[in-house]
Amino acid sequence: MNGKHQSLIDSLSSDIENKQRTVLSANRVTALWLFIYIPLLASLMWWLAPFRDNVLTQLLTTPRFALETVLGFLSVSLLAYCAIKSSVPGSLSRPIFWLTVSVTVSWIGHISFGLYVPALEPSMAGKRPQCYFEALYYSVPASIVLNVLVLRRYTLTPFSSGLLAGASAGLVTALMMQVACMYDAYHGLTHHLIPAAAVALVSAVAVYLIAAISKRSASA
Amino acid sequence: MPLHRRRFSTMAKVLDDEQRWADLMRLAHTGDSQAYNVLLQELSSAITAYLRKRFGYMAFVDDCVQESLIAIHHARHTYQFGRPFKPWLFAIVKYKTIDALRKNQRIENQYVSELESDVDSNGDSMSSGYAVNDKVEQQLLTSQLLSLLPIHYGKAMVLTKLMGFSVCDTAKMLDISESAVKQHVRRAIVKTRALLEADAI
Repeated sequence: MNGKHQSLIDSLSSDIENKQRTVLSANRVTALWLFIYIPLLASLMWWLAPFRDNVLTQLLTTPRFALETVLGFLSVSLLAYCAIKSSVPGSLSRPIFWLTVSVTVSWIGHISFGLYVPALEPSMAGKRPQCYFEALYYSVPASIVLNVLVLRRYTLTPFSSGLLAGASAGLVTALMMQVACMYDAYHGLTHHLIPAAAVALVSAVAVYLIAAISKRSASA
Repeated sequence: MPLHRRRFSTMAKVLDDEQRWADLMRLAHTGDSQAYNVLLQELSSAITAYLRKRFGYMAFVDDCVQESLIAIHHARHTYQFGRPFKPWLFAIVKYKTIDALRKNQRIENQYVSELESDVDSNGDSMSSGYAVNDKVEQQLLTSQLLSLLPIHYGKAMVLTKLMGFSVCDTAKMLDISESAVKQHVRRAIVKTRALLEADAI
């Protein structure tokens, strides 16, 4: 049987370079995401327009708001982890994937539940006039960075990988907006989470198209 | 050899393969083309055996092996040392198998061309039709994965995707409409994908 593929094997093995490019592990990317990107984003947002005044007190005195924020942090970290894992064949396990989906759905569900029973008293305090566009602007570079990391690997599921990367980039900004901008569940859903969903969708389509084009050019 | 000893030796071989392939990949990453050649040869045999067990002896299997080897070559930088080799390898193989099934182009199949030349020379299309049917039945019975598909899905998929018949010919052979053939093939691919993903290595 090997005889049939021997010429292919010979040409492939003559093609290997002496030095292989290395890729960052999913753990490292998630750590960089959490400890470098989020503080950088927070600093930039603070510099452009300060966070709402009483946010720390709200976090310490309102368990539901604290829970919502923790769920948000878990969600964006797990989404970044899954995006990177999904770009290495056979690496993303189903339990981790479903845990990520559950945490993200719980977070968005918690915000939606706030439409009926708000975690905090809705108020205009801290309102950022351009928060919808800010949410888009901050998400796009983060999404590009994560997608480049995904495409440098070998994703078998480009649409899902792009969706996970875009969701992580979009939701991290939405999370920061929930802390920085005015608190109102309806405002959070329409002005912070909808841009995140748009970024996730565009990212998924972009990664899918790029992967399809590179696959076609590789086979041509 | 007693059963327990045979099982033990099979398990030891599986562990040996895992370790050896990981070591060969490590050498390949340092630029050792000889080790990489050996690795690809061993993987070629392993993938062929894996696919033959599930799809039988078909030209389709050779195409999948070739596509898988090229994909392994492009994805080799994503293998992380210290992690199991087989899940990485078979994720690629399964993906390439489904990808090959999804492709619309007809595969080059010697069996079909032989059959068509038989029909041309003898004009006996009836006996050729029976021969194809026998071949399909045999294929569905002997291959591990195809035998799990519902019979009408399995037949449509074997005829179109694995044996290389056109949708029109398949519709005539199965005595159903062309759109029904397409639908059966689509569902067969979905089912095959689920079966392959659930398949523990």
